[in-house]
Amino acid sequence: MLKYANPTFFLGLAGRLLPWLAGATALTLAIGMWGAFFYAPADYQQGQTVRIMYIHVPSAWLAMFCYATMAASALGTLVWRHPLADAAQKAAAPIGAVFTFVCLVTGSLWGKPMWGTWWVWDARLTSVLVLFVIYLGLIALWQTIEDSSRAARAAAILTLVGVINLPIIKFSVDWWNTLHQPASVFRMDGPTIAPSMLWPLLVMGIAFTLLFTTLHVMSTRNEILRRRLRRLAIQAAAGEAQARPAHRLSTSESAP
Amino acid sequence: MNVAHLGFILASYIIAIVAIGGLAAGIWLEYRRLQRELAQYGDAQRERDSAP
Amino acid sequence: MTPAPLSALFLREIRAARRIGGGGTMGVVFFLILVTIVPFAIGPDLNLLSRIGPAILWIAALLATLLGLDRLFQADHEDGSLDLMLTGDTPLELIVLVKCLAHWTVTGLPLVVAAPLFGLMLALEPEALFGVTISLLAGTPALGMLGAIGAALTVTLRRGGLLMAILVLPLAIPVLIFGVSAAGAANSATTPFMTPFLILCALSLATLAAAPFAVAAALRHMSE
Repeated sequence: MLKYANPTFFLGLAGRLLPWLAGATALTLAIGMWGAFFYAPADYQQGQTVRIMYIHVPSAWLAMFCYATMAASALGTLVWRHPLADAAQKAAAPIGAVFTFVCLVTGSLWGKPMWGTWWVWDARLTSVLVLFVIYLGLIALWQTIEDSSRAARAAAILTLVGVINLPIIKFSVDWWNTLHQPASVFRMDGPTIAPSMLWPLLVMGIAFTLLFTTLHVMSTRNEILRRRLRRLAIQAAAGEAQARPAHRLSTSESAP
Repeated sequence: MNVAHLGFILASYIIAIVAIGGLAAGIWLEYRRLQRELAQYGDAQRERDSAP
Repeated sequence: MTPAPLSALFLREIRAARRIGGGGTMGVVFFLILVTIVPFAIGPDLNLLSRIGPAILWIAALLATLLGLDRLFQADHEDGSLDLMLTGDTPLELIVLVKCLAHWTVTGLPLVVAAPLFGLMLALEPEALFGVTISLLAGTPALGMLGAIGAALTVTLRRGGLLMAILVLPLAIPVLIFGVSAAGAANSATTPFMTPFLILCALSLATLAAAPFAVAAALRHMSE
């Protein structure tokens, strides 16, 4: 498997795969949006506002899926020291942060008409907020450490520490929330979702997953190209530095 | 059709599209820039060969 | 692998911390300043202060612990003794554990001792004073061990303090939740004291057991 994971092979594969991925994303997104806006009925309690669900829930799913991708890449970085894993890990962090941000903002925009407030310190909201902060911390770590392979290993360790810590954070936030139960909050639990609302949601879920895959492959490719560019620039600079003294030598020889 | 809270629905879709679309556009523009700069080193030729 | 190098390291760490700017005293002074500025922000209402006092003390302890930690491995990295520790016979995990324990003795323990005094200034009841002190005693090791992970990850950076806080604070949320719950249990009749306190102890023990491996891995990877 590792044989196929070399960066040049990946570039070729990405070039061939990306048009299909992007096409599939566009198609499923179009079907999902149509389903969300025209097929799915309005909720008898929440009215049209329930249509926010079709982007909110897939974003929440992706916020977690992206962290899982990052953790798997982190293992690749630490165990096999694979440059492709470094690139995949670095590419995933900003994408995950954006999806988590979308999840938070749409949740807030859904909460205002339904709960009458922009934000509640609900267990689920609070855990997602902590996840967002962890993503931002990882991005900050990537930007601060200049040596990219060292940054990859630092981020990998932090990501894996986060994997152990995230369930503990989730558990403690749930506990904290039952301790300080906010008064009269609209609870939206309960699996009673009508099939006519379920399938657009599932299609949107698939569409968002495809979208993430497309963006992640593109971003990983960028990272590989960026490293290649840096290497070429260093080589070119070294070549110039070598060429210049040689040139001076040859002119001094031809002078007399 | 009851369009109560239409603003909230539109706002959440617009924010989602702007955020994710901005991310995608950023990644794509970065790719174009990298391709251009790699072309200066004559390396882009090999990239194009590997893709059909 | 005899205990002699480890006890020697423990004493060395304590001496070094005392020599450089009095280590623990600075943390306690910072703790005092944080407790002092809160009444300026929310007003000198003693009822309110005694209600949120445990939370104030815990946040102050959290920040004081974190800000003291950024030099934990940096001095060793700069003078080269970290390289000796990396190549020596003693397992790096044990060295990390001993360094953290020494650091806690110099900076964490003074905070625990000072907490009841500062609690008096926030008009805490005797039960709450006891709760804060005992929960800080149980929780500060976990804060120190989590902070050590951040310190190891930022060891090569010249100014890693702020980044370290960004990395570590989200991970410290569970400790804060259970610490404040245990500390505040005295004030409210509804919450039990033992449940959060035992979970807090479990968190401390778990980080004492697991964090040295993460710290050692980070140190190995960062100083390559």
